[in-house]
Amino acid sequence: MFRDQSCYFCSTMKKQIMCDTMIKHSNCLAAIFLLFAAFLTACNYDKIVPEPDGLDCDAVQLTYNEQVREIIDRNCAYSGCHDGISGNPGNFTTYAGLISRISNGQFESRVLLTREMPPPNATGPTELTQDEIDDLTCWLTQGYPEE
Amino acid sequence: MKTGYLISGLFFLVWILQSGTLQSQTFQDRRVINAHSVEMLPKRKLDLRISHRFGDMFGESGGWETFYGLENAADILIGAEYGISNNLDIGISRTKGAGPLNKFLNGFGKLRFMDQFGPKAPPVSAVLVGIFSYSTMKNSSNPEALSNFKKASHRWVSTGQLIIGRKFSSWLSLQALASFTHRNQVLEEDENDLFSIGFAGRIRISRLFGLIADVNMPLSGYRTAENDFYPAIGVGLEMTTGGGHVFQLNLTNARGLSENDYIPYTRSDWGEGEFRLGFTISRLFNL
Repeated sequence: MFRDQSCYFCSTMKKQIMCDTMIKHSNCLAAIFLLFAAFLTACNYDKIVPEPDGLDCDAVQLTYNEQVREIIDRNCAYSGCHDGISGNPGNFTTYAGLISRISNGQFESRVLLTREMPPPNATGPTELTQDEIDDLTCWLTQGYPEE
Repeated sequence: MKTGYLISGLFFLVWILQSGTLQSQTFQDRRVINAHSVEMLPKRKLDLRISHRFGDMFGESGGWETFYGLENAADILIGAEYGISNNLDIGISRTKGAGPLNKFLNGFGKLRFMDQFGPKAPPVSAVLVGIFSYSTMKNSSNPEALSNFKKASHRWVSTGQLIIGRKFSSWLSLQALASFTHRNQVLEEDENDLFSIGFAGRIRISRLFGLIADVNMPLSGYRTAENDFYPAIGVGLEMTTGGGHVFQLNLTNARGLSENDYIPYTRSDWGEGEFRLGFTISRLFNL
């Protein structure tokens, strides 16, 4: 049955070579199409839509010395990571070292937008908490003051 | 348009220049650098593969501090492939992964339905590849992370490819790839379905050495340089070390090793020095 169908298909293609190979592998082709079909039925078109956050940055004035330093030390600037001596890019133990990555947009992009930092294989925390993200976001909006 | 004419002109020139008898291998290996090639495993051969991509050579995280990226690992692949017949391969692999969705278990099926060196000698070899990747990442608690899997299907990424290649002469092989990648969950501004095209080539230097290169370009209005996405481009040197073992050194801006990783998530820029050294070892066994 299948053989007949592929022959019909092939005669319209007028390419004997393709016809032969297709008949020879009709079972394989059928299997692969079935596999694709199985995946298509399990196919989703889902998107992650960020929820509108009721983040109110005017409520509190954040500074590096008061709140941010502690978040950075705990999540990024500990020994073996961005500590300035272990060879990883960036020295986040000081305000100056941190703002060099903030002013070029790297910090916001990798920590707050794509959230690839801290990475899943970090020895310290592998994700920031929502409070930490909110604090950092507001601190950046407020122009990342030191004190 | 101009590049189109240029490429077709090049193809035509090569067509004219080609010599008579050809050895039956289009590419030395079943992969070029990042992409699958039209080459297949012989029946009942097992191919054990290890691929490694180091960190950025230059740019932000490269240079002397990381010894030009050699102290970092962008991605690592360990896998096995098997030739069920001369025209059907299956393979499994583990990749660490480099994109926002990573830690992949990969499986692929590869079917050759036209063989330039087969009995009927069509002008080209043509191959279909289906690559399926399952992320084993921990389910993230961050609702805005790609690894926040709300459904089991969100862990799957799949790519289907059609590859058409031709050995033009004893020293030149070229192939073109058309790919379709589907991700079940993406960020709001991203797209679930992604088409991409690719080109790859091999120039034989001697019996043991070959120069290889491949490019993969997503066809998407979102994946542009302004949004920090770049085509995955690789160049490399291939060494055949006897008995069908291949050792390959390459430079590429792609971080991931799985199609389902480097096609949607190549965000490193050659121009910024964000390319890396990589190698692939392939060892064949009879089974």
